[in-house]
Amino acid sequence: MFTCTESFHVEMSLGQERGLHLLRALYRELRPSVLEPNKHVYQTPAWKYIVKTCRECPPSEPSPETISPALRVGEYYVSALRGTREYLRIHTVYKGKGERSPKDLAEILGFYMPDDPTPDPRKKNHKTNRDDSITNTPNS
Amino acid sequence: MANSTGLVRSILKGTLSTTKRFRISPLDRRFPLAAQYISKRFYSPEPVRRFYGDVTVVPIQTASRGSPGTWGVNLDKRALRTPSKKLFEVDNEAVALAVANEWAVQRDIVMLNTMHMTALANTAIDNPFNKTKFSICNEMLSFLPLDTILYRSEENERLWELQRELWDPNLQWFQKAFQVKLPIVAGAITPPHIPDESLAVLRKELMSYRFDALLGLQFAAEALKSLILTMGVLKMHLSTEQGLRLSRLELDFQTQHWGNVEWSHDLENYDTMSRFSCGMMFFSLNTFAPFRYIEKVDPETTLAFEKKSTSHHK
Repeated sequence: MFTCTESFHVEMSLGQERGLHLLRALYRELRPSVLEPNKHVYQTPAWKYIVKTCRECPPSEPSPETISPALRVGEYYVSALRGTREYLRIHTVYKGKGERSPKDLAEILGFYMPDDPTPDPRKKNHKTNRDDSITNTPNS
Repeated sequence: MANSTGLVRSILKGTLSTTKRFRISPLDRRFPLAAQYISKRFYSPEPVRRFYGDVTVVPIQTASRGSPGTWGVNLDKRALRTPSKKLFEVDNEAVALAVANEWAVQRDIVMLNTMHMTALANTAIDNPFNKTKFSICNEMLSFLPLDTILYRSEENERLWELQRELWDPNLQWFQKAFQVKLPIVAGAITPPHIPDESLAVLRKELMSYRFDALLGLQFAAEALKSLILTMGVLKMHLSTEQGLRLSRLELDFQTQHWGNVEWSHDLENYDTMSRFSCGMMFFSLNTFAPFRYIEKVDPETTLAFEKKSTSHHK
């Protein structure tokens, strides 16, 4: 059986390393956009466009200070996707439930709504989810 | 009065209980709809739920000589439209793909406030306030005296040192790169006065960009609250993270001392990150060559045209 005893080190330029790191980051951030179970990120038009742009743009830069426009836009996109994802994560955790409806508020405070049917006190077995022991008749 | 009599008797008898329910008064019974509407408040419209399945980018006009071609976004089979009901059509495939990805990421509720690329593209197409390049430049330059970097806080010595240490190099770079003079203000209410020559130089720089690109640049500068830092990131003097960190220097200083509140500070930070990055991305996609269509001028064709035009004059 062949056993690999040597470590392979691929020499890459600074631009190529940066591009590879960027591609990995883009893959991680674009993964949530694929909702279909059988679909993969590599099959999306966005990823195909990114790969096509990477092939068209030269990977190596003359100096670390300069950066190709494709790399620059890629870094902006990763930052935008990450910012949106984290914003939605925090928003989902801390968002409020919103205002109660008038019906819920009436139930908590013990009021009837105008559209609710008035229970008939003559019917002893009349079951309601409200207690009618307090009535508003003048003789009570 | 009958209601109050019964209520008073029940209180005196000690039979009043908080779990008992009371009937509403006859006044409310006569005006049931009014009672309902009085208690209802119209804060915001119902959230838009995801009403589509697939999101695709489709070419509308094919690219030809002298024309980059246009792309649109389809939600299922319906074409995406702007808030002004215009067809969503951009001459940049990368912008269309970014917008399509924003719509594809939405789950149950469509969070329109997080779709910054869509908003920028819609603004570029609709231009609801009829802005021009000149008006956008004027708006950005009128904001320049209120730039974050030009305001220093002299109340806290440590903060003053931090601002001097981290902001001064970027200010000096900006002044050197654009040959302008920008004064610093410390603890004052009135903004600093920027010389007209400096404004003219910066206006010339900003007017050299396209209208769409300027929209993205303005969006990014407003998110960062600093045109100086935005231009630093644009000219690759700073990275995106460095620009973001420098813009919230004072905020980070305070939160390190008093504590960080995740649902306020972190939320604001990530919102700023996404807005700034989308603005810069929109600017870059509408400026730089691999993404923006720039027609290549053929020198032989140009020369032949010039020869033909001069031969008529002879």
